[in-house]
Amino acid sequence: MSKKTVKSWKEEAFEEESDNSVNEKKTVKKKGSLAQRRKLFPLLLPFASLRLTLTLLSLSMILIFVATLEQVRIGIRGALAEYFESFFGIWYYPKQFWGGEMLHEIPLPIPGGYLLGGLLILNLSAAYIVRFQWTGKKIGIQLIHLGIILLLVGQLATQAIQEESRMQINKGEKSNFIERFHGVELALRDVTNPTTENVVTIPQSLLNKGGVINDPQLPFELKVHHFGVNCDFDFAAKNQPLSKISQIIDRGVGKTANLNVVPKKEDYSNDALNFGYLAVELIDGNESMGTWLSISNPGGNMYWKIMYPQLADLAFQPLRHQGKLWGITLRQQREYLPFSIELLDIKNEYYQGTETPFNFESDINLYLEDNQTRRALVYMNTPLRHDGKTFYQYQMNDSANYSVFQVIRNPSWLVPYIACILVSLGMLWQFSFHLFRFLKKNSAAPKKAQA
Amino acid sequence: MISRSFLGLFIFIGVYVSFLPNSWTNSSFFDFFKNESIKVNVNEEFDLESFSRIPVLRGGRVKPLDSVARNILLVLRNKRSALRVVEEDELPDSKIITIPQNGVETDTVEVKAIDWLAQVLFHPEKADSLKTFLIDHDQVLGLINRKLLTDGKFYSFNDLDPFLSNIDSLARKAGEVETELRDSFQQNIIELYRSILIYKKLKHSLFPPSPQERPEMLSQLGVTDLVFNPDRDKARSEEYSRFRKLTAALSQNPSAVKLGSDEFAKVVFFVDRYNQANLWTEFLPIPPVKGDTKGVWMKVSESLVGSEPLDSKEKQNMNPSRFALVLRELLTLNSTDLQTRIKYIRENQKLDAAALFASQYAEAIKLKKGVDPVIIKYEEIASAFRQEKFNEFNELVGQMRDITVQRAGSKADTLHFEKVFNGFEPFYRSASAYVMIFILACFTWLLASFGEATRKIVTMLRNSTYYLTFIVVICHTFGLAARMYIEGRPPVTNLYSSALFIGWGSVLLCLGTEKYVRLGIASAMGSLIGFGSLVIAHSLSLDSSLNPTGDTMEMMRAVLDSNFWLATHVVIITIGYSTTFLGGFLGIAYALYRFFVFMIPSQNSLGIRLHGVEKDTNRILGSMIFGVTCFSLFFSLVGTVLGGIWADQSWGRFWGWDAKENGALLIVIWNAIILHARLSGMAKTRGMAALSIFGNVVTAWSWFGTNMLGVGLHSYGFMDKAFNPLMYFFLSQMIFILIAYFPTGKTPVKPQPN
Repeated sequence: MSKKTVKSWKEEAFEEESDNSVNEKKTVKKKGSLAQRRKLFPLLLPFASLRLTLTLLSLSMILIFVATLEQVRIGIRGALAEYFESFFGIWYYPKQFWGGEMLHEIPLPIPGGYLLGGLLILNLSAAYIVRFQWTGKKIGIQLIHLGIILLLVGQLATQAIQEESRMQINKGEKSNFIERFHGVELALRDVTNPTTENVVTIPQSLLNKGGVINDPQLPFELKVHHFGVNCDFDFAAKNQPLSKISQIIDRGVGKTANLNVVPKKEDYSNDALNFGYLAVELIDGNESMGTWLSISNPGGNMYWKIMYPQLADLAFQPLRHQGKLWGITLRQQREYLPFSIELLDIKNEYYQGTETPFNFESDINLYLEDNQTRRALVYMNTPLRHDGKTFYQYQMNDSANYSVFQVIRNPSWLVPYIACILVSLGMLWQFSFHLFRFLKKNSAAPKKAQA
Repeated sequence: MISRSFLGLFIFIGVYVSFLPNSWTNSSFFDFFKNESIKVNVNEEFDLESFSRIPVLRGGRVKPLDSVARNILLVLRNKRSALRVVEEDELPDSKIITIPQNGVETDTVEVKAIDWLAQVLFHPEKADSLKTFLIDHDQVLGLINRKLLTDGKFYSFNDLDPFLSNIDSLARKAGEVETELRDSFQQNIIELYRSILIYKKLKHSLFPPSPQERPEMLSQLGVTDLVFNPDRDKARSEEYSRFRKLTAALSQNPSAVKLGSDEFAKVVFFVDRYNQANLWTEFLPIPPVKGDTKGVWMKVSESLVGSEPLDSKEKQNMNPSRFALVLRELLTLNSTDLQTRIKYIRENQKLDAAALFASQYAEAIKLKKGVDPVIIKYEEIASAFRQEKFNEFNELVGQMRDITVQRAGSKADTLHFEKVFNGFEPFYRSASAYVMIFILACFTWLLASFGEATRKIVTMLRNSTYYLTFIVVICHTFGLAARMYIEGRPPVTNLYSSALFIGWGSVLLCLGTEKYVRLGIASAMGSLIGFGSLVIAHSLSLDSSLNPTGDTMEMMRAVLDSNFWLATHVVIITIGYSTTFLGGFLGIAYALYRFFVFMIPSQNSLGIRLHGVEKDTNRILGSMIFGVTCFSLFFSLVGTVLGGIWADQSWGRFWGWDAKENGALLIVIWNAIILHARLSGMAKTRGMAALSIFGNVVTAWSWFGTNMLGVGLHSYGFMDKAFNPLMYFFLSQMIFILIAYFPTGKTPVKPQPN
């Protein structure tokens, strides 16, 4: 049976092809609806051409190839920013390759993902309107292409709105916030009252702008002197000249530890550690309260204690103002969740006598919004899905007893599934259509000439 | 009549190569069903066949010793055997292989893998003189003062022994360089270092090395009479029993656990000693003890003292008096309570080195009892082997198998099968048969050009290739199925198995095509891909960065551990690879065919005939390529989409622009381009053929190129050696494309759709 399907499909495909080439020329006269649509949307005609499709597809091959190569140099995130999430990127031939010394100098513009994706969607939609026949015979092809349009749209949407964060929990502890992998914020916490805490956060976009920041909840003004997403820092010797940034620091850990901070370009590679830094002056009325340095630890500010005990205060630099106790800290951008997760147990198992892991597993309790709790296991290929977020097992430290989840929010996650169903339906239709036609033909003329 | 008998002959040859006993493999199809029969005279020979079926655990998998021997030799020497230099007055009973050594041609004979392993384990002094290591890098050879031309490339451990410390320090230095930046000397010295390490560990897997302690230190501790003394003790297990007596005494009298106590110091000495020995082992020989539900295999020393909970260096940082205190407290508990306490400590006091080490000592002192009978049995086997007591050896091996197989439980069910499978070598058989089919198909084309005169023979030969392919595919399929049975996994689990599967898929599809279009073209191209992919698979199994243990049936990393997705996504995407390759090779067939037809002037008689059928062949090849490309698009698209769903299920994102994902996408797009170019009439048969040939480049890139980048989630198989072969492959495909466009002075006949 299956073999017959194979044959039929191949032969029919050929007839299909001949049909198609005929269609190109004659359908205008034959099919009223298509001709009408062409009249209605004459502007779409140039965008519907198959030549354009082929050009765009070829260009996207180049884009994908180049962007894959570039991942070695700038990491997936870098390649995303430069090529996929842009209209065009500039590529320099890699130096290490043959003839790289000479060719490396030439900047080559590569059409970006947004450009090609957008044009492909336009091209497909136009073809849909002014080139495809809307007949039962062709419904398979139409469904397949509709599915592909959806896939493209879904990916563009995902690229634009998907957020990636992490959640780290120590065994036996609870957590109710997630931190972005990339992106920082300045948090000013009023901890005067031991039971409640007032937190004012200032997003990265404001820090980037610089200047003076006012907030009605803050009794003082903030003046951003220096801000950057990545830096190198070390403990300066007594007489060592300090960098421009560190010179102006006169309060907090930055002063006591004599930190020397040098700005650095953001690292886009996969295992990048970007230490955001901020030199901020607090001003009460006209009087300066001093200038603090704060550095954000990409793994979470609790790591300062472990990495450099003398920098532990970077997680919370205390300051008294008008009888209130405030803490300043630059941290990875946080999002508080309406629910919390408690880590009960972790499991980190290896195949016997090897260093190949076969299981990472976190046993958790989920404390829901309505005071209910739910037990769950999170392990490879089995993430926790809750409240539009997916928590998947990302890292685990067995000896330090903590587990890290990667948390992804992607509202458009359903789109690819719908697209897949459309494509499958289309293929199924196309196959069975040809199969039945083939069977019918074969039964009518049992003796067919050998190909 | 004659043609019939010829057909029968070819079929017989196919069956012979694929299934029957022959001289180049160790077992035949019948051996799978036969109960193992003793082929040796038990009083005059070692029954190594039986020995080779003893189960052990290596690389996370229970396997027969036969597999261990073969896999390790594959890493060490890239062959499944070692070489022994023939002594002067010896009359060897097997084939002599001549290799250069010290500038003279020397006679050697092959030592079978299992024979080699027995010597390494039981008689290492003998094994050290066997040619076991492959060294073919001239600078590494220079390091050990040898030349490739005069000294060959195979060396024994004894040859390397004087240079070990030098190799060690150079390898360490090379190890500091990042993997991607190492030059060829650095790569090779690291490989040699790893080989030597595996060999040394293997030697000590059953009998730990004797530490070189100073006698004064031993007597100071009062253990001189306790440690193993070859002059007095029959076997090392006597030392183990004495250690047991010490621990038994100590667990009776926990108050002796304190700093400065003699009994305690002795136990600490031995536990440290066995902990050291734990590092020197290549496989785990001791099967789970009765009642162990988790099925934990153990090393020799591990069965005595358990394993260290932390790196031994941590011991220097712990507080010794606290350690003694915790241990004393633990030893006062009864066994059940102790077990619960140990579990508690290991789960909740992970940062407390003193408690963790105390838990190991408590386990060694109170919970471990006696010496495992498997250890004692191995010692007896070793002694029988050294003294060449054949009968005793064979009897002991029989007993050993009974004990270990029983204790290994259901994990040992596939032992016999795996052992026979190792010797059956279905992929080696299929590869040689594919060469045969290809030659036969080419020969048929040649005959076909004589037209009517040879028509009957040609038909017979075409049928023969078809049936031959059919038989060989069964053999190839059997190989894949056998791997699935042994592993308990879907067919594609790593790069090696993807190569096996790609070849299989292409051949199968060719078989289907050939059933309807019996021209020999599909058979020839299928066998070519089949052979090529099996050769690629073989070289992948030799790649030490990809396959460090030599076992192609390795365990899956946690993230890939999902039989459902391996069976759907991975299998379908691999079929997509194989159909794309098939399309490409049919494209090559078209290019070459066209080239040769137009090379022959149409004036002579052959030319006239060829040009007469040119149109037909053109059309048939065109439709074949088109059909195969439809398949490719279907499978690569479905496979890629399924991959996206897997990614969404397990990582929460459908598409992450990972290198391997992008590679798969490139194949999908390229197939879409071919189809749309053809359907729109922009490309005719020739254009489609050229595009398909470039499809080979795209697929090869996706298959191997992305692995060479070493980035992304799928980079489970990083490889650097494949770079040059890959580049040559790309170059060859470009040449084929040029050939397809070679000006012939005639416009090719356009295909006529029916």
